Amino acid sequence: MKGNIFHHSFYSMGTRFSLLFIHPDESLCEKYAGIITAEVKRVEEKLNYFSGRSDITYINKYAFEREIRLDEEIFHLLKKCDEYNMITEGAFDITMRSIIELKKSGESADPDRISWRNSVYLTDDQKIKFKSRTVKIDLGSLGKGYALEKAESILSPSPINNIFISFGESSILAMGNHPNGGAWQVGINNLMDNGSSIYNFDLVDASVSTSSNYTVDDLGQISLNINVIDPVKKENVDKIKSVSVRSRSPLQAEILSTAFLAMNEERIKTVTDRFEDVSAVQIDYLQQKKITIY
Amino acid sequence: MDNLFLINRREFLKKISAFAGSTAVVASMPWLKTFSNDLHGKSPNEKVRLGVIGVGDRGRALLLNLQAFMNEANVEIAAVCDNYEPNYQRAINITGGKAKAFYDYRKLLEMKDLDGVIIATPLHEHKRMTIDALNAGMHVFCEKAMARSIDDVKLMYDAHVETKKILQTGHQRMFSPVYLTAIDKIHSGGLGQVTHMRAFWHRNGDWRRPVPKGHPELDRKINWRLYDEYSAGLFTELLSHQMQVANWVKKSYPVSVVANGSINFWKQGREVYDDIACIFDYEDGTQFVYDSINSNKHYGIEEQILGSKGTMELEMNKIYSETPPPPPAILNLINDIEKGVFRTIPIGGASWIPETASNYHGEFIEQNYKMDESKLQLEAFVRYIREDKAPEELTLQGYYSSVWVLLAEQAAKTRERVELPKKYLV
Repeated sequence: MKGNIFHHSFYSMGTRFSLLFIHPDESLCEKYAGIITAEVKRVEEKLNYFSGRSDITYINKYAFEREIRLDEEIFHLLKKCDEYNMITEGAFDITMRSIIELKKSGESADPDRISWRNSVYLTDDQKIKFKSRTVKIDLGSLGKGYALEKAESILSPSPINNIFISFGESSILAMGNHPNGGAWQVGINNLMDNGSSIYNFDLVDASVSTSSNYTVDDLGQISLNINVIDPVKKENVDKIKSVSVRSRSPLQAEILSTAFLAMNEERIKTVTDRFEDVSAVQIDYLQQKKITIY
Repeated sequence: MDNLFLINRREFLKKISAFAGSTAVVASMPWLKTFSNDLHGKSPNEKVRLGVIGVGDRGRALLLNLQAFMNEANVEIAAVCDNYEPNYQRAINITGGKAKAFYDYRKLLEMKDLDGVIIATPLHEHKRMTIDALNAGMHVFCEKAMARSIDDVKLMYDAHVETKKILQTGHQRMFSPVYLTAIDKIHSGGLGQVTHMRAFWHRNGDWRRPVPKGHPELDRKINWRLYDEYSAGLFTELLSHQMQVANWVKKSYPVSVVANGSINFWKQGREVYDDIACIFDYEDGTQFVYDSINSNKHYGIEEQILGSKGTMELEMNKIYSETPPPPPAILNLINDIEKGVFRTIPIGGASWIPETASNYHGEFIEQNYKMDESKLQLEAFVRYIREDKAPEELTLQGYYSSVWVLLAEQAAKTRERVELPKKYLV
C-alpha cells in the first residue's frame, strides 16, 4: 500500500492478475483482494481445460458417451458461446482446441467437420452432448473476460470506486476514474517498440481485451502462439496481428477480440456496428503496423 | 557466463565482512564473526603452522587450496602425511619437499609446533586421528562426515569440549556467498514460512577406483567408500552436506527420520547402498525429503527450499517468488498516480508470457558468487586458530549433520522410524 494505492497480484490462468485499488482503507482493500483472488481461482479451476478436476475436463471426457447435465454457470457460459458463434458467423468457436489436438496427434479425422455448430448439441434443458469423439471444448478464450466480469460484480457494490485490473495485460478492466483525471487511459503496447502505445482507449467502467497470435514478456520478447486457429480455415492465423476490443462487458470484449482475430475487416465492422458500446482496433504488423479502427 | 559471477578473495572478504558486521547475521551464523573481528591470540605476523593428514583426492584439493592463500594469510604447511605410497609421494611433490612428510599420523602429531591439522582420510579413520590431534593440543579441521558411527562422532565432540580445541567439519557451504545470502534471506522471512525441503544428489558411477595390478589387497583401502566397515556410502559422503544445509535453513535439527536403501544397480561386491531415500521430520512439521543414487545423473544435485512466499534452489543460485512480478506498466501507473501525473499507460496488448516452470527461470539469489568456498572454509579455520577458538555453532553444524545421516542409515537398515537418543544431545 502506497498512500491510497493498493496493489495485489497473483498467478492465474497461466498468467498474472494485477489489481490496483484507489482507497485509503488498507484492510478493506485486502479483504476485497482476497475475495477477488478466491473467485478468480475458482473460475480458473472450473474452466481449466488441463485440470483433471474441472467441469470442462469432465464434459470433454464424457459428453460423447452420454448427455451431461450442466450447472447454471457453465450453461450460461455455453449459451454465450452459442450466441457469439452465431453473431460472428462461426469465428468464435470453442471447439478449436480439437483441431490443435488433432494436429498434434496426427489422427486422420477430418478437421473440417469439427465446429461448434456441427459437433455439439446444447439443449435448453441444460444438457450437452458431443456428436464426435474427437470434439473438445475449451473456454480459455473467454476465461479471463469471465473472471473479470465476476470481479466487477463483486467490486461494483463495494466502497472501492476507482479500480484498475490487468489480467495478463491482454484483458483490462477499469472502474471509476483515474485519481488524477477522468477516464483511465489504456494504451495498446506497440509490439515493435515495447513500452510505447500504438493506440489509446479511454475507459470508465469499461474493458479492453486484446487477442493476438503472439505473446510478449516484460522485456518485449515476442513468442508466436501457434495455437491460434482460424475456425473457418481450420488453420493457424498466419498474420502477426492483434485485435483489441473495447466493451462495457469484459466477457464480451474477450469473446469478440478472439473472434475478430479470424475475421476480415468487413465482417468485423458488421459486428461492431451491431453493438453501441463496442469499438475495436486491429493492428497488422506484417503490413507496416496497419491500424484499422472499427 | 561464469566470469560474470567471479569475485576474487579480496572482494569476497569485503562482502563477508559486511555480512559479519550485521548483528542479526552473526546471531544466526556466528562462524562469520571472525571476518569482522580483530584477531586475538596468535598474531597475524606469526605463522600458523598446519599439518595435512590424508592426501587422496580430497586432501590434495585442500592442500592446493591452502597453498593458494598461504602466503597472504601467513600460513605454513609444515607437515603432510599419508600411509599410501602414491599419495605420500604426491604430498611431497605438491609441497616441493618443504613440508615434513610422514607415513604415520602419530609421528606428525609429535611435532609440537603445529597449530592445527587438516584431516582428509577415509571416514573410519577420522575418530582416532581427530581425538589424538585434539589431545596433542592441536586444532582440527576434519572432512565430513565426522565418523563412521554415532558413538565415534560423540567421542570426537567430547574430546573437542574437553581439550577446548577447535573442531571444524568440512561443510563448505557455510562459507559460500550464495548460501550465506540465501540463508540470511530465509531467516529474514524472505520465503515466508519454510514448510518443506527437498534435496537430491544423483551421480552415475560406481565410485570404484582402480586398484594397482597385482595388489588386490589394496581394494578395501582404495575403495573404502564401498564397504560398510569404513563408510555409510551415500549417507556420509553426499547427504551429510545437504543435511547440514537443511538444519541450517531450519535453525533446528530433525526429530525423526524414516529411510530406505538398496543396491539395485552396482552389484559387484559393493556393500553400501547405491540408492537411498529418506524423510526427516522437524519439530515444526517441516518435512525434508531426500534421495541419492549412483545410477543416473540427469537431475544432478539440488536443495529446494519451499516457503509460503517463494522457493529457493540453492545449488542453482535461484529464487522463485510465489507472486508474479508486477507488470512494468502497473508500476508506472502507480508512480504516475503518486506524482499526480495523468497519462496513457501502454499496458494493453498481447498476453504476458506465463511464467511457469517451463519458461520462468527465477532470479539469482546472489549475483557475485563464484568463489571457492572450500578455500574460504580453510581461511576461516586459520582465522579461528589465530583467535584460539571457534563459535560452537560451527562444530554443532558438523556434529548434528553427521549424527543425523548416521541415524538415517540406521533407519534404512532397520526400516524403522528413528529418533535421536538423548545421550547424543549436546
